[in-house]
Amino acid sequence: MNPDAAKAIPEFARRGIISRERASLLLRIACGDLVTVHREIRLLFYLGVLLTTTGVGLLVQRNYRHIGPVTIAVVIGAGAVACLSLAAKRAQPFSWMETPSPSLGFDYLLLLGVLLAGADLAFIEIQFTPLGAHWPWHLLIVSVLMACIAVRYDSRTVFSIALSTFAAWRGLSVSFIEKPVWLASEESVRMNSLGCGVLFVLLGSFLVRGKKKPHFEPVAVHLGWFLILGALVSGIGGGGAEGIVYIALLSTTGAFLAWRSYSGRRFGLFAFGVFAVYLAAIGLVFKAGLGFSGDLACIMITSVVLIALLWKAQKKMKEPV
Amino acid sequence: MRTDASNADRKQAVRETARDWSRAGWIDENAFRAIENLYPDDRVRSGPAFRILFFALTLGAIAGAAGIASLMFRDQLAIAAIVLSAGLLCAGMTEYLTGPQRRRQGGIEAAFSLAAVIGVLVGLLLVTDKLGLSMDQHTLTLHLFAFAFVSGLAAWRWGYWPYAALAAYFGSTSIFMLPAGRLLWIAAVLAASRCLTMGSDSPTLPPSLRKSATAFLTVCLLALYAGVNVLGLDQGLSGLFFGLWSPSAGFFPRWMSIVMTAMLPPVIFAIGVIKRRRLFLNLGFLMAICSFATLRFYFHIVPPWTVFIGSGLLLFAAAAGLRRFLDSGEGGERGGFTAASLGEDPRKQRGMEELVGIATLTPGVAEPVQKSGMRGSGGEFGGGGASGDF
Repeated sequence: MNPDAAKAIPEFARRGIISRERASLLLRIACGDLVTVHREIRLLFYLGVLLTTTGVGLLVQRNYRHIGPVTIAVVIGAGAVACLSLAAKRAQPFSWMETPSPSLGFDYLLLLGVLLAGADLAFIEIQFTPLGAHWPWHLLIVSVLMACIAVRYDSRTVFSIALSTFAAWRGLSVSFIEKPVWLASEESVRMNSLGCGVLFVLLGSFLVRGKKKPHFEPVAVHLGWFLILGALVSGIGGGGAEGIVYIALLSTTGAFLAWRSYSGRRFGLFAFGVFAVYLAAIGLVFKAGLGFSGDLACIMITSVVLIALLWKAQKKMKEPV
Repeated sequence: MRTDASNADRKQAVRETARDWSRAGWIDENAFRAIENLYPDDRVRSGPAFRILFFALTLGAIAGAAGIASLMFRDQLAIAAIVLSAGLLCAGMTEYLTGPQRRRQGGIEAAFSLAAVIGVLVGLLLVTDKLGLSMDQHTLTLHLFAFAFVSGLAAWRWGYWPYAALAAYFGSTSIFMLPAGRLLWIAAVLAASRCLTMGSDSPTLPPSLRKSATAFLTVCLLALYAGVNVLGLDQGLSGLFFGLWSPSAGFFPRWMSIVMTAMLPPVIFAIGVIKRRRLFLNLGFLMAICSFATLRFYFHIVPPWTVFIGSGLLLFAAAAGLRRFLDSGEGGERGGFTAASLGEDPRKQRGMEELVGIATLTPGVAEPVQKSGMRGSGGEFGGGGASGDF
């Protein structure tokens, strides 16, 4: 219910801002006589996907010996094919631009199909090891397949999972397969995280410039910057010069991101950048060893200075409330 | 709430509703501008990104200042006085910012209000400790009542719903700690729920206080369910909801707990359907899931994977069926319910789904142990679900 809107609607109708027919519908909504359960239905679909995939995970984990690996692989594969073919049947024709979803359940049906297919491929890899020593590559295959499906059927959720699966592939490959190539393990994971982040940011830029699914860009760019800044933040705890280098990199990258987003009015990314600079400043304060009260004083001063700078930035950026 | 803040709040609610109408295509840009001119904003507001930044940075500055001030003294009573004074000072700052400075949804005044509430609560605890009062059940109950009062006062004065939720939490915990607390709580919720339900729709209250009433009611109902659930009673799991203060069983027959575990979800859900209240629908559904989980705990009829797959497919079918049922009604509605979005912003939920998807749905990692001699134990980054389960 919205009593304030309910009180205002008759006045809007009287002034001719909205038509009388429209006003009667809006009044019903504001008075709570017509209630939407759109969000609840979406939540039911989403919970359905989560529970089903969790159940499939448990089935594979605990029962594959009783039922037999071939049967399980075939059954999960059949489930995935059924979901994906049903989604393919209902899908809109392909377009590089955003296409409206044909129905409320379409995105979730697609998601369920993709996740079942991913689980099936993972199960086949563990049971029949077709890739042998290069087993983490199955994550790359899954990631590419997911990305193709996301582009074809215009699903941002599937696209985001494709990107995170790609990052998981790099993390696993570095940790288990490419150890001889990357000498220091922790550093190599960090470098790969940075690499993935840069790749995602570039991908986002390509999507916009090439007008190929430009509405996927926020997913790629936000995940990319999250990986880049996360990798740099994980390094500032290191001792000696290494920690200082990461602090310098974090503050520079954060400042660059804030500056770029400031001119482009990208508010979320701007907040990422400012937070990165703030964390770098706090890291530097703790490294300086000023004592507890000195640290607190520096944190207070840094916070106040940043608030003052943000105050100015806010006036120019004019973020919508 | 101050009268001017309350009026500004009402105007903001109308503008937000008009924005929803505009997004849904029910009104054009000119109509939207006309509504904005009719209901102008006299408050200083920030967008979500700046709001979060201002909030976090202000809290950082306040914490730094309070830390330095408390380091100057060694005596606990002096520190308690400093913390209490800081809390009251922050309350004064909140008054100043929301009053003469006309700030709302700006982040800074919210940070000051939070610091005020935390300062007063911590100050009270420090004073009690210094006075040598033992933290027995009576003192704890009194403290919880005091916390509930302070949080409730903050919600009432400044209109922030999280404080109302906090007040309900402290209030419910303190009542549960009394002798026969569960019965008292049931009686209290039954008595208060009608008032709170009316308050959450009342035209006499500004939108912020209506939201606060809704938040208070939500926590009260959740506390009621947590307190009467039979699994919570048997295993002491109520402590999960009530934190460190796990309420004692007191006088509460087990059969009553069983009946309420079974009956509360459908009753709450039915109220939601009859009164067309989404809050009750959602709470009834959530409680039903918990009751089914409780049932599964006592009766192992089928293996867990069957339960998960079965309930997942059932939910999928229920969602599809509900949508079709509502869409097939006259004008796409039945009994006052519709599956159409009615101007709600779908981007918020989509963004949340993408975040949750990245965290939980990234495919698991294969562990081809026998043949290759390698073990996968999870990705180092990116794959929240890369747990090596397969």
